[in-house]
Amino acid sequence: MNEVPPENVQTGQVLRYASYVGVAVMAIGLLLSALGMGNTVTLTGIGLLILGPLAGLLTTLYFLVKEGDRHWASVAALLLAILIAAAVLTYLI
Amino acid sequence: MDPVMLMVLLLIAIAGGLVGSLFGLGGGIIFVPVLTLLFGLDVTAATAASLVGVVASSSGSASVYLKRGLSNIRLGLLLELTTCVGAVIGAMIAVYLADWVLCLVFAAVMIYNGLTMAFTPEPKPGRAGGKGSRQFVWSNADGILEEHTVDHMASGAAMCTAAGALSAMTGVGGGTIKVPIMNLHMHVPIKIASATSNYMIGLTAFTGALVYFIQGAVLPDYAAAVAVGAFAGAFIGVHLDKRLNAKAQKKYMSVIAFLVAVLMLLRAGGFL
Repeated sequence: MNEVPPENVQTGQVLRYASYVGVAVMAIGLLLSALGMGNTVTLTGIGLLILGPLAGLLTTLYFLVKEGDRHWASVAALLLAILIAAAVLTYLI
Repeated sequence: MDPVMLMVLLLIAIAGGLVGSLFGLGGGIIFVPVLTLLFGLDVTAATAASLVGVVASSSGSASVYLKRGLSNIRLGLLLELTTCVGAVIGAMIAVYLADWVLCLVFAAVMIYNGLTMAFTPEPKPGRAGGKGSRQFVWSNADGILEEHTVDHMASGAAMCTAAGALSAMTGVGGGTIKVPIMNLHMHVPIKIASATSNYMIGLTAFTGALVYFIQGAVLPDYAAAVAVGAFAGAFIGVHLDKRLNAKAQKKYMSVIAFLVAVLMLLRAGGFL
């Protein structure tokens, strides 16, 4: 067994891209804010970064479903539902 | 923000991201006190910026650990699920308990964890087919993927529920409890436990960060500085991880547990 499972590789890649893009946009925003502008750019970067773990979880779910691993796909789906419910409840309360 | 203070915050965030990625903690335990005590932010703004930093640190390190086969997604998903359930329960009952009581409980757990981590050797691999065990795949010390046995799945997941509750009630990240649970109770090697925790804490922080972001509670400059620094620190951390052996990692982890216990005791006494 030498190959890292595809859900590991793909989830890792999604997290990497989201964090690279998010951090790069934030860094540009920080530089612009030194010139008295850039808040919108910084907030865009923060938003992109924050959505990374969600995109990662969706990727994991997709690959688990694709592999036919029902048990772990249902665990991932349930976790996704709880995370979304927790975010909605926290926002409402 | 003053450019000098921005640099100071970036450097502190690098340190936080480094520690967080090496030990599976995220770094929130460093970010929140620094932002409140040194930068004068209120607790809400500090927590919001810290959560963004934790997402950056977690995403940066987990992306590497996943590729190396050190983070186990399935184990992480299961324990994250029970942790989230615990966090929801914790958030509901937190209003009925005094903060100092929760801090004392957390400090006691940390002292126990610190002592156990310091004096317990790395667990021997679990026996395949043992009661309550399950097989998972991760890389061994030579970087080769192998099937390993994780013991006490049900009780470990239940303990993570308690960790999630305690974490939600005190506002301290659950990594400080979950890594010892995986290592000491479920017999997951410390490097796999901390790498898997790095993957998990990103999911935990995502929910809180998203809510603060939508509510407009995220201060862009502070959050971005923490996130950029934490991300850079996480990348330094994942490269240092190769040079740090398991024994040393457990020793440092126990020191961190004692430091967290001190912070919790100071908070219980009203000093923080």
